[in-house]
Amino acid sequence: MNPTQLPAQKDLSERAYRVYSLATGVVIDHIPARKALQVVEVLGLATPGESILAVGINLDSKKMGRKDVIKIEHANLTDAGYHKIALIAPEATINILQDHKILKKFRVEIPADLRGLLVCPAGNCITNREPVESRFHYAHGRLTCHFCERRYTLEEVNLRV
Amino acid sequence: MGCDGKAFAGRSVISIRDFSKDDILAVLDVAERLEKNPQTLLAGKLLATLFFEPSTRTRLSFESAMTRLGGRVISVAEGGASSLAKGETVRDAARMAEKYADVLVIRHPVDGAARAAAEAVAVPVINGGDGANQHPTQTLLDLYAIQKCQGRLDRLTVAMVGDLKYGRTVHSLALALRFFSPKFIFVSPPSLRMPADILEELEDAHVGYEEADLLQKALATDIIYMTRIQKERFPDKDEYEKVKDAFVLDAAALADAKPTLRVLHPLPRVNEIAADVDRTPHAFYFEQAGCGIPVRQALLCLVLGVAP
Repeated sequence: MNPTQLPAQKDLSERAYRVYSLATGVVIDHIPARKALQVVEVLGLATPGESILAVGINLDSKKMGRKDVIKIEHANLTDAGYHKIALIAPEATINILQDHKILKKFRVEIPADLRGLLVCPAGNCITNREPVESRFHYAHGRLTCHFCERRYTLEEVNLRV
Repeated sequence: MGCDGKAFAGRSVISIRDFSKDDILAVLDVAERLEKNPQTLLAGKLLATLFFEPSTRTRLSFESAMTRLGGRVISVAEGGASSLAKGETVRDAARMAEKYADVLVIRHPVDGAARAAAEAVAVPVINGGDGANQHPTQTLLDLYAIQKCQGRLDRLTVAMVGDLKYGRTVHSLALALRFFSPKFIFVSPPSLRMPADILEELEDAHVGYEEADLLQKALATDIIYMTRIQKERFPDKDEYEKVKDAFVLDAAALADAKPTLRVLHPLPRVNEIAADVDRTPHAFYFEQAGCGIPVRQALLCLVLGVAP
């Protein structure tokens, strides 16, 4: 069956929450509900191109209750990309697919050292006053600015767009 | 504890958070040795001071420390301010200065400036104060002063009084003392309490503390560390008027204090320590200021790989 065709009427309720079935590319699963569009934005996924980008928002999840999913055809994400995903969706799982087979599956992790990804909220931090790349240390759920030494929760710090 | 100086060679002094307990003890040990036996260990070495904001005390203290060790100083006091006005980055200024000197001391109004500078150069950088962030040599001289007047650092009851919210010195000193099993009493107006993240770090280190808003709670301690409450910190001027005299220490308040209690202050003081305290045996703030010389000498020697 062509995955882009609508399912038969009798299958509709079973397939009501199925997102486009990806053959080759990257699936980002277990994104907290309604955060998928933030992931799309920070990764710059919605740029013009030939590849399909499918986004499922607020889907049922046994694990999370509700979740978002992103499927990117023919994609290759960098480590920085996975780190950005981890900052928005610390519980996300990544599936790398090739011809419908899962080549690799892993959980994202926030690394201990984050360079250039975040903006320090402190106005008087040197990273906001001079061309100094931001750097944060992550431990026990907290981010610490390497330069001004202030500590933040994940929610308090924005990704550099 | 002895220190052969090699462990610190080439290292920058940016934040008290970079110091382990052993590091602190090593610095204090060298400071004590230099104070007892002054030596011109840094003859032929050059210190450049880059002060992007004025601080006469800190600059003079470093200049005196280096000169008494036999070294020389080139000072970019006015130049630092004009460099800032021209928009030169602190890293560029440091890269220029490292060509002329063996060690740099930087004072800058922006948080994190000293670390940014240190990571751009090969010579050691000592942070003389960066915005509201760190002033590690002040913390180390405070520790040296406490050790001097109490004979130890371990298991002291330390009161910190005044502006605990914005006070860079009390934050750093609280963190440095956490290695030494202290008990803290934090006395301040309610709007100027010790910040939650500092309290959290103390809790992580299993350090006990109490918070109070009465000066009286500070008196049954070993150390009272006084700080100035600034009018500018109070958006509501009436609130400032209510509290400004509530945290003033005078000789009468100290009448029943134990004889070994000592009063410290990072100076300059305004009215938070009354002049009559100066004549009591509890006053130690001027001796504390004097501790800046051996401590800064110790740091200069250690980062240049020299020990007495």
